Amino acid sequence: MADYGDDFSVIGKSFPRLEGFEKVTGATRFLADMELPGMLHGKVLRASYPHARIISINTKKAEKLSGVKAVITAEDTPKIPFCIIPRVANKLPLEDKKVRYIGDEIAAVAAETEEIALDALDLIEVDYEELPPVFDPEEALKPGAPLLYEETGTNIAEHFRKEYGDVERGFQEADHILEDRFETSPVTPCCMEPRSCIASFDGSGRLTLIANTQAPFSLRLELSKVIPLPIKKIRIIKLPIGGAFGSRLGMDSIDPICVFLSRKSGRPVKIANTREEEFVTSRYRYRMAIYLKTGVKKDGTIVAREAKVIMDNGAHNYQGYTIMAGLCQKLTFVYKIPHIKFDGHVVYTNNVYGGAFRGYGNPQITFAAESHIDMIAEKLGMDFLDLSLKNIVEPGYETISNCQITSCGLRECMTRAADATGWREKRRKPGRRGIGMASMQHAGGGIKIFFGNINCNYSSAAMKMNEDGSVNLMTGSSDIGQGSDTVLAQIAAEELGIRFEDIRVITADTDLTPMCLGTYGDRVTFIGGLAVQNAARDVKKQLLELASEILEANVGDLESREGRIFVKGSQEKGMSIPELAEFSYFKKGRPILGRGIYDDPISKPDYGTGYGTSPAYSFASQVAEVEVDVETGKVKVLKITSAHDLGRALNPMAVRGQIEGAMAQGIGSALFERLDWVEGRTLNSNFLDYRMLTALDVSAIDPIFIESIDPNGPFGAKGVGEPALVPTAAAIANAIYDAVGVRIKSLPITPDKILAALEEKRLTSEGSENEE
Amino acid sequence: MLNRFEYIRPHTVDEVLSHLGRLSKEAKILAGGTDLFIQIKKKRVSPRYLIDLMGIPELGQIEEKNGEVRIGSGVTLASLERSTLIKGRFGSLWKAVQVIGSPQIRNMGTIGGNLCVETRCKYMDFCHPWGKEISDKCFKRGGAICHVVKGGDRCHAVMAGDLAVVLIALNSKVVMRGQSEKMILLEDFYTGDGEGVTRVNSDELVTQVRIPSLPPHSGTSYLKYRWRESLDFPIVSAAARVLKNPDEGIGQEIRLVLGALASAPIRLKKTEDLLRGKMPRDHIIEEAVQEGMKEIPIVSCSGVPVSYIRKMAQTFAMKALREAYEASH
Amino acid sequence: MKHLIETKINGISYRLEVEPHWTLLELLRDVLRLTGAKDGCGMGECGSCTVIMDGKTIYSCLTLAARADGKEVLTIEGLARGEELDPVQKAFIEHGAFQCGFCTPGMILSGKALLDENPNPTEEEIRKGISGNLCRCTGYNMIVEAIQSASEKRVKRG
Repeated sequence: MADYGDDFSVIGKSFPRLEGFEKVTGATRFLADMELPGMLHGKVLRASYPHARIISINTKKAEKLSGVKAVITAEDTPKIPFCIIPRVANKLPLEDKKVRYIGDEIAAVAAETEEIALDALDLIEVDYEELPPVFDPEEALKPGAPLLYEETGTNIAEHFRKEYGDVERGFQEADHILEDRFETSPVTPCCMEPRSCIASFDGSGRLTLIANTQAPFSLRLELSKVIPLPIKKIRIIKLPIGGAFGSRLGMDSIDPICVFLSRKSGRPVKIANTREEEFVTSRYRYRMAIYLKTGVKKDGTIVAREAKVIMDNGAHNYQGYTIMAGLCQKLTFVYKIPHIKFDGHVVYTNNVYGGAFRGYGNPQITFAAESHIDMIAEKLGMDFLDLSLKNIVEPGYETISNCQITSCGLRECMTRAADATGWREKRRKPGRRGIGMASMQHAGGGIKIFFGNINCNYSSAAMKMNEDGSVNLMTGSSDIGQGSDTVLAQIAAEELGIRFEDIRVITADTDLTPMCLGTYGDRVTFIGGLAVQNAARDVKKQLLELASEILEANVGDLESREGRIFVKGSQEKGMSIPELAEFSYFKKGRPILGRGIYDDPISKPDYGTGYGTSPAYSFASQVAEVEVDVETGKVKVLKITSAHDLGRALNPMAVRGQIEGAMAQGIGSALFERLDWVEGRTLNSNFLDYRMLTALDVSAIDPIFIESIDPNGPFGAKGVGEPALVPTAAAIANAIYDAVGVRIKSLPITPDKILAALEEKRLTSEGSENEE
Repeated sequence: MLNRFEYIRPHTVDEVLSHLGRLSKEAKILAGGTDLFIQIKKKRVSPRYLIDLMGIPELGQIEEKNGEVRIGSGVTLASLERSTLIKGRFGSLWKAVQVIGSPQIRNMGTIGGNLCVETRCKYMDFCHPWGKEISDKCFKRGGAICHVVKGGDRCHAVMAGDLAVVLIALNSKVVMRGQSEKMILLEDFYTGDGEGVTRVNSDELVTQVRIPSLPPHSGTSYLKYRWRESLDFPIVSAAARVLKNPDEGIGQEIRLVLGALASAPIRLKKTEDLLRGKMPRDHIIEEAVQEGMKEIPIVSCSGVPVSYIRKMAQTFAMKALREAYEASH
Repeated sequence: MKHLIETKINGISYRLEVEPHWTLLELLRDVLRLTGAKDGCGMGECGSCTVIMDGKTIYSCLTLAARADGKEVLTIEGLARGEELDPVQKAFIEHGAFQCGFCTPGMILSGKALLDENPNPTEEEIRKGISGNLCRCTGYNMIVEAIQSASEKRVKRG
């Protein structure tokens, strides 16, 4: 186990973003701002029926329109389906036989201007044979429901079952059993930059795709299969992205469509979603119905948990299955529960298909699970905090799902959050105010998941020192706005002993940067950071060896810090790293180059589901304080206190930004946000009708850092990007119950639901009064 | 992207009218642009000419004349927000302006534009061009059905603009100029239809809003209920103007207007009648509002349940009345 | 028919021929290559196209290019003086008030316009001042702190 101490020069300090000057002056070039010479504008023709056979597509008129340089349909493609999990791929970049949701891609145009491209789309004639659609996954399971994939004979995309222990026995041991249905709505990431890409081929037929991607190497792999093109013929470049949150993890149809258009027209092509298209077609958080059964003994020991989940997969396979497998794993989290059973159906419907969105299933299952804990606590006459503390996991514990917990600050998260908010004094007090708590556990260092045919979790980095002692750090991880480039630079600077200002970070270009699997599962700080640390160690070794020659000291007696290498204990006996670099390049004749690989040896793969374990787990407890207006049902969130075990805060300002940003999303999906689907149409495809929080809607947020110092993470750090929105809905739901005694089990908890519940409560209590 | 049009920059109202008379249905008036350009971008309208009102002096004045405050239709919402005259004389109007849209919208938008804001309905739009097959079926889009009122015979899109509600409560009038000059009560300005929302003809221009001074011993209120604290149109809005008899404390004249429930603001005349001559006790207000709401048809074009909107309409009608009564001395 | 306009953008005078249907956002981004203002929604809802015209923030996606005639426009590119950042820009960096950076140009301009009109705003006034700019990354509180800090620094500078 590494002994870190606390004497850091770079780690733990709130360095401002590397790219700060460019971002505040508008100099940052997003994909939206990029143009290539001769570039054409691409537009996609999408299905206007939720379920229909394509009888014919006539593109002749469109092709003739002046300014149009290419029109394509599925016939111009090899019709290879794609999916981040290849074995279940059933989405074609352009559909040929059938459309299965409003927005399904069927044709595309590249033209000199956006205006011409839109006019050309208008000229494409499509003949459909409408088919009966099905929109509700529980309806889709019924016999006789319209089938999206007739050849499979079912609307069940995947049925995932798992049992740990013996739930029957567990429930027999229970003194109380609660059974409830919880429901969540589809929630969309609302990235401020709509998704786009630019494809171009060079003279030798080599493709460069500039894409909004969280995982350039994964995208390259997917494209290589679908175009198809050998990997060596593809370069993926990721520019600064205006938000991703998981929705840009895998390939979207517009990526290969753009490539096909570019190839056919012989020119670079850009496709950019309009904001409406973004709302309609973006990957989003899957909606679920969760039937949860929890058994508990009268002393508060949780003995058994059973969940049946019906997940609306949407029309095509994407990440539904891994999220379902992840849900099962998460059910075994936070508490030590010996008997757990999981039964999950991933169901096709004629809605747009979902994907990863910050939390990866954890927000939905935690809403159900932590609401249930609150309900159980009430049943037992125990306080939520006491019930939780009695059952929580601890450092060193291995869950029944084989997730090995190393560092764990969950107990401290709960108690600190409770202390900071005056939990005991405020709980169960009369009035309209309430306080509620919820906790969570999440991957803190990535997960062993599918990549190609293997399950893995690795990253790599290269480092070159320039002649002046500054460093170029190259790694494949994607900074999607969360500031990972800055944190990786801090790790490199600390390990190497140079100043933060002397590092330049180059990331996410498959030609220039070494492989990293991508940004997801809170892995970049941990896995990416460890790879960078290894690269820095490699370079430091070379520097120390050279310095030992010059200073005539043993390598073991030398230290590197803040741009100097010196003998430990005698600072003045040393030399600056710039001097050393100059010496190496111009006198010794030796370039300084390092490499680092980190292949996570700790987590375990799951070859069946593709969703393995993590090398570290992050924990958090949130306490929400609310006030309910009983006339309108409106909930005002007064404050959310969020205690996070993140191992170590490498950059406190960046960590705070991640926590607060995630919580604003959490409050949004708890109280306001929902994609309004009616018969396959997304009715609120704009920022006025989709209620993302404004500056006047967000509440006070008090983040607390718990540093459990992970034994394996870089300088003890774990991930923190996703946790903060995971328990928010449950904390707020529990606070609402504390305030006014109504339990809302469906998200978002809008005022009309609260008012209806208050009315029902009033009638029920009047009714029972009358009976008396 | 906007459609292609010709752009005309007249300098006087007469010039505007001359263009309107000539171009009529092919032209649209450009005030702040915060509503018109959305109509154009969503392909609801495609005018061939845009007549820009910006900077026309006659439309940008706020003045007092003959016991009225007269506001030119081109006065921006931000100017109204900054006007000490408006703040001092019509607190409810001042309050209403502040909660419209966002700072940028208020800098750009005008009072005339807000009064003529288009009706809203979630079903009206869908991704152009491939989605127009879906959206073009409804009345507002030139089709023949209504998605909200199944089997309905007209468009039921909702008029949710803030200023109409508060200005009707203040008994305002609106001046229109075309071939001649007309002045009508603002409450008669709206047709009640989701299409063709106002009575402005295609060769006419709204030039001015006139608000009569508040009679002595009157109080006003404006309440906007929405779920987010910015950007959102209201789920329901309510405005009241109450004249109280100072000696007896009874309501002498009551005006109560609700917005965002239908294709035009609704005056609850029944409620007003029931309250006239009575002491404004809570249970009297409640009964009067309940009675007045009985026949009010409410449509939900936003996805919020109708039963909830109805409850909120009642709640906020009562609150608006109570606030207006309290404000009257 | 193109219109000739005379406008001052970031202190530089321009004589430009603009198509009547061009928005100011299109003029800035596509013609003048000032890409700081972003097309986040095109409907005046997200605020990422915010620029300052004659001292007031506007949504440039809902403003005709022709309307810039005779006016002064300030975009994010015009805020810094060479390497010397405006206090609001500096505060955004120091207080971590941005993450992905897409909403940032519009957000900074809204903050600046607010402080120009109200040099000593309360927290509520700051929130109201940026209530027309959406941010998905930060949760807004660090932005509010940055603008608060900038207001204090501006007062000191006098």
